[in-house]
Amino acid sequence: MRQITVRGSIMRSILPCHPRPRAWLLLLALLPASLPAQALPAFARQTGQNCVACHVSFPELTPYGRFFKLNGYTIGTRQAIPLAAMAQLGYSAIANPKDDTGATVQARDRALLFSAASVFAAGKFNDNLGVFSQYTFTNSNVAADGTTTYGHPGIDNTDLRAVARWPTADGNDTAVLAGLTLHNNPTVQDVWNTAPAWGYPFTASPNQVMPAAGAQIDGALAQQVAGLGAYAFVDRSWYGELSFYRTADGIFSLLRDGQDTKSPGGVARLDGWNPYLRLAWNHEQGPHSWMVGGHVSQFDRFPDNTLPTSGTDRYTDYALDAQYQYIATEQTLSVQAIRIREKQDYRVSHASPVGAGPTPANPVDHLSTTRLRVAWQYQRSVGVGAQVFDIRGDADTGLYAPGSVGGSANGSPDSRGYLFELTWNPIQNLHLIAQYTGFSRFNGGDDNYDGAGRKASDNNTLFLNAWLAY
Amino acid sequence: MSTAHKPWLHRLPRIRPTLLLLALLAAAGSAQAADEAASHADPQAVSQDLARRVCVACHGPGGHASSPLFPHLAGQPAAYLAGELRAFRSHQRDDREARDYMWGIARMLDDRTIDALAEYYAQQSPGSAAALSASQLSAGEQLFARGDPQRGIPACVSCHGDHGEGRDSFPRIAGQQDSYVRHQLREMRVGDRPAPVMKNVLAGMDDAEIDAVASFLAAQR
Repeated sequence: MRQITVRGSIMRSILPCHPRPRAWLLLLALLPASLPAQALPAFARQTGQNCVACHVSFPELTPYGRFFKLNGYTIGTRQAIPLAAMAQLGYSAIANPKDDTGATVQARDRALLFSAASVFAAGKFNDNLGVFSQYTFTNSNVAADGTTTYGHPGIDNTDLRAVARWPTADGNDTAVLAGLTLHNNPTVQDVWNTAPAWGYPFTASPNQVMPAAGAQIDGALAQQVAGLGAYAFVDRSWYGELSFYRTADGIFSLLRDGQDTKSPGGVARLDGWNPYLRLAWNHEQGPHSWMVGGHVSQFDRFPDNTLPTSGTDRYTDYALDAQYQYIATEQTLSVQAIRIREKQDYRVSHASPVGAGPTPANPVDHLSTTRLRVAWQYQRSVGVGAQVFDIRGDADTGLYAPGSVGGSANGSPDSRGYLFELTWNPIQNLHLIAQYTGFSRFNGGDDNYDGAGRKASDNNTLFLNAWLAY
Repeated sequence: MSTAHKPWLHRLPRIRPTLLLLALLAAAGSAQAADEAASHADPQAVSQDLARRVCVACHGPGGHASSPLFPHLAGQPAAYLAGELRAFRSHQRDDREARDYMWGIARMLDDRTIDALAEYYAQQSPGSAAALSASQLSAGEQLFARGDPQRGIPACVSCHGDHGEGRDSFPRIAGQQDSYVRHQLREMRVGDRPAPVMKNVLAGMDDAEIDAVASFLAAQR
């Protein structure tokens, strides 16, 4: 049976849209209309400011945009109807669209696809409480036949914040900006664009063939967990946060609305409250801004969400990240880098596989993910970006078994490649993208990586996309 | 796995979710009460709160901006700042940066807050001067102090004060951000930023002269 993979696990069915595309769609709430101020979406309507005040590009934040988010989305005037909407229309073309049996590899390949539409409810309740929430209709879920797609609604990124501020001694600045956050995706609460929830590429082909391996912090828990945390931003220079994640059940069920919680392997299930610690140093000088930081998290995850008495495997993620921005009148330059190191302790699954859970051959595996992105933009209108990525880790023939397209012939998760992108905003409500993703290694191999004759470069994908926001 | 085998971070008490949500809502409720109280508070207190909570993100603490996109506000004449804020609020000033950044900010401000904000920044001490080469100083200083009567370019000091410190509705230009002045003078020269007086002044100046004046001004205090 062909296995198609997304980050962190091998699934036995063709997967719906990877959660990553939904994670960045929120930026559409920040896009202004080309019309005067009264026609701006969500946050833009609240602040009365245009996109460029908070965003370098989609959805990358400027220093003011980071300050707006850390202030709990409370800057501006509360709107009576704090809604915004967006929709995406795209076209994908994978280099080799057929597998070894002649079956289609990527659903809706070489066809226009209305991939998603979202409604946002976002803004301030008052000067100390604000929310970002998104509900998405994803139209790119792949049916069992592997070629047709269907739509499915569900909650997307959500972040509720309560904030408090303490001034400096001279009263001219904010010495401490502190807050509480309730959210449903690890790192969605972060304000730098190294965060997996907001990292590059900000959008991608909805049914792109993805490497099999990925860390838990790297999107595997999106819209499946409830995160509760506290943070402080001191002297607008030092950021510290401690958050805890649990399964989004019970009173938190709304935070995973739309997920398949009934099928084995349909959703992630954690045991108890799982910690996440984040530290960062932020500095702004002239047109430059820098961030250097890192985070550590640990997730105790049941191998099969429908078998919560089995005990848990433990995933520990360490990450270092850095960001640089140059923001001037006519040009911007952005650089983001992140390295995630995960220790996968299969304390339950290795001894005896549990239900739909992983089937590791090793009791412990390690996985490293590295991404580096550089982008330049002119007049916040036309831009070019590039990224290199590298995933490498311990070979594990149980986790990464041979299988057409999604498997690995040698049990290695190693994948690497590049991404190149051209962007254009002809008007502020419309964002056009031409993106190319190339793989030099995929699931451990260059040629015949899956044991069925497929090359890594067969998964290279051209993606053209337009999205509209109001 | 029993909690006894978990690291301490996992061994949290079972926090009732309802209590967490109630805590957030209570924070909102108390903050709402604070909001309502603030709306009737001293405009000076309100404006200083706005300055450190909102304005500081772009214009810096006490009006000393870091990013070249945004001007220093420290030491600007109160009449000039108040006039510009009202021009943003009424959309009379409709250059690109006004629309992108300041229309939204200004619409939140009533007249009392505008006047208090202007007074707050007028009382802040301007920043220190930048270092420049002798040639940059010379070219810029000529235009600043004497203008060019043959081409109908008045001296900057004739309106902006003997030291560029500003007065009444004429802004402080001494010590202003080099890149900000360059951009604004170009905007005014073509009329994108409505300023009829400056448009006439700049009509005879080329880019090199604008840059020289901007560099000279940035070096003043």
